[in-house]
Amino acid sequence: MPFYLRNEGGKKTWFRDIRPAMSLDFDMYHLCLMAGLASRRKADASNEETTELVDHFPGVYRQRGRLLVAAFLARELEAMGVSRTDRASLHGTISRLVDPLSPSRLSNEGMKQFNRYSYGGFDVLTEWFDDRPRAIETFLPVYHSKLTECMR
Amino acid sequence: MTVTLRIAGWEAQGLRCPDHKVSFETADSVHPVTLLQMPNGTGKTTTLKLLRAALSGAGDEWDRDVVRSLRKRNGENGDGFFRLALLHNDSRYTISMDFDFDEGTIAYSTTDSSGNKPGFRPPRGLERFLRSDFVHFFVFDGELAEQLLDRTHTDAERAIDGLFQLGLFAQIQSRIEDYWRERTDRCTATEERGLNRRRNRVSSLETRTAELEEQYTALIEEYNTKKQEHITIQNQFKAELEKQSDLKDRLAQAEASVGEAQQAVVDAAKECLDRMRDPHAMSASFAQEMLDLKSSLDRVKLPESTAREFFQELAEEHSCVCGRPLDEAARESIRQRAHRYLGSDDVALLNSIKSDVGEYISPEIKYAEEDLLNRISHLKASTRRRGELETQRDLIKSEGVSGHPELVAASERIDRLGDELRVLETKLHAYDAASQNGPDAEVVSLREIHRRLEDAKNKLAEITATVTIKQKRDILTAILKQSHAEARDGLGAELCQQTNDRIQHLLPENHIRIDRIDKCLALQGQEGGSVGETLSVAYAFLATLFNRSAEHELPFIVDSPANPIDLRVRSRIGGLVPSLTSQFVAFTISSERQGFLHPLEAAAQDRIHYLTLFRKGPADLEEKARRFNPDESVDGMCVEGREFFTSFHLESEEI
Repeated sequence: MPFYLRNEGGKKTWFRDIRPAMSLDFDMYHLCLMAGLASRRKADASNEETTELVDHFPGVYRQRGRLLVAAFLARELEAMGVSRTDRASLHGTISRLVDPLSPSRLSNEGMKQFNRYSYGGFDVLTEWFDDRPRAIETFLPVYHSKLTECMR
Repeated sequence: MTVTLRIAGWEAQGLRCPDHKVSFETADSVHPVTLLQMPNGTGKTTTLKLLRAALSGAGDEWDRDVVRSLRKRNGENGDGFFRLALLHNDSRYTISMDFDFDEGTIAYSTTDSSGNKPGFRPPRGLERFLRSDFVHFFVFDGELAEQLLDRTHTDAERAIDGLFQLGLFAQIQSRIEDYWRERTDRCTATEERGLNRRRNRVSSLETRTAELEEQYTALIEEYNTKKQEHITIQNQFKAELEKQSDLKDRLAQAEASVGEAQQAVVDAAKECLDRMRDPHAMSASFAQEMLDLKSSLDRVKLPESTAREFFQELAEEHSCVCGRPLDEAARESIRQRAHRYLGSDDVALLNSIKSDVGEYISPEIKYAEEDLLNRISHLKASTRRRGELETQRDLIKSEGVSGHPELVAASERIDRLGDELRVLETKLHAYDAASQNGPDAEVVSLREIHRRLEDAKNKLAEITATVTIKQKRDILTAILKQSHAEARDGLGAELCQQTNDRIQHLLPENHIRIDRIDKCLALQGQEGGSVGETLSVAYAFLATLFNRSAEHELPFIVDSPANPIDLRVRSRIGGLVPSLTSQFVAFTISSERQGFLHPLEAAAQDRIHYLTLFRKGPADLEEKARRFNPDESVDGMCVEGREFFTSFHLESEEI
């Protein structure tokens, strides 16, 4: 199962002015994902409302893929109220969310929830910014500031 | 060529009627009239049922109980048969029904000149007569003639439908209905109103799409024009400035500095974004959460040092690794509990995740976020620096502009065009949006409006096809109904005329005629006619139906032709029967002879074949029959000849 990006958050729409400053489409996905994880926000989107990206962590994300999965697992375990001392629950939940044989290391269910954080993250971005970003240099500092605020 | 069907005879064995064999054949054909006298209790009803089944193949549809009900009473026999011999034009056919009472089944087979074949295979040309819904019109009881005249029955109409296969019209209608249902099952709308609604939607969306495309084209044109003007004026402005030689070098230097600052911003943004790809750099809280996750997994010993596969393999062994023997219960328990452990791939993945967390995050738990913050500060500084340099450049430009009103105007125009271009970009962005919610009239996204138009067109196509099919169905159904009615009316009128001609010819003194066929036979002058006269009309009608010299000739096999009618009428029917058909076979009981036999014999000019079939039992009757050289079976006797026929009498029949 691949990563999906919300159409409104695509390179021809919300991110279009700053997309040239990014080396990968996955950067847009990543910014949405981190906003979703930070704000603990998930959303749903139909196939028509999303664009398929890749089924693995591409390029510079290859080395960071497992860390992103770890960040996701930490948030998801918290969201599901899984006790960190309950071995069986930890084991069951993690087994459900990861699949060592999939290119992304996420199971279908795990990828579904991963994407939902990304969809929710785009909603968060549109709340953080009144208008779409026009320049990467002004966008990134504000983005980080909002995210840090959200994590407090 | 006229299609003829004659009954040559039949044979029954092991069935509810006495075992018997009858033949109606003569040297060159069949007897025109056969009276088969069977007293009550001889199995007359059974024989007629078998005859109809042999003529129609209906036995294939009987259930086991029906089949078993035809077994000989108190019989131990496991099987039986009924064989019917037919003459079709010059060919001989035998239809056999072999009964297996243990299984409750009947096996049909058909024998013709080419040999014996399994199944009910009516001769070519006779298929339309040898059907269960039609056979009962020529193998009938005496009541049918009365029912043809009864307004509560529709037998006359059904007989015409069956004979001329007018039921095909209804079958075609049914097929058309099935096709219609099959095609429209998944349609959400099938009516004209739905079609108009969808047509209007497509029309309004097409209008809206055309409007939007026109607007979009105009906006693009406006944008390009202004963009071009913007570039032209900027170039002119720059060229004018550069004409001031003292400014030229300063401006070039300022532009170069801005360029360098811009590159620094780009580099800083790139550095910043690259660090933001590390989730632990994005926020120290993320880093801490990941470390906590690792600690939690360590604490509960996940992943285990032993993988699920170890236990699955152990469960196949006869002894544990400690040496203790493992029985089946222990092995099953190990198999069950193995699922509590991760597979080796899962173990490897969790270990990798933990390893990455330990390797990348632990050493720089604080540093990563600080590093990102530093990069962001650097980015901000670079951006500020670029801003300052841009301001300096703009000051140089302002310096060059002052005192030159045309340059001031050009500068203002450049700024205004820049604002206008930004507004146009925003507008165009709305037209470029991938999707949009809201009513059609408010949608500006071209992709969204095209999607809606496509969808509406598909729905219109669906209903258009449906409505077209419906119109065809309605037209076809109307044609079929009209054709059926016209065929029935036309055939009815023709049959009325032919029947009336036949009555005129056979019974010139009969004053009753058929007026029309309206479900039953509607008669003219019925009030003045006797029961005998009206029944004669009914028989004449049947004869007209089944003996159409140019088309077909069918036998009449009648159960108790005289029984339902009183003595006064019997003579008229008896006198009529031989002239109606080329083969008349009547199942009678002795009490029917009175008033019926003499007129029949007179009309048939003694060409009558007499048979008397009865169940063995009364010793005196058997003894009497044996004097006439009977055809004798284990439980029945069949006597040929008028003398025994007319003298036969059983007390039980009078009950």
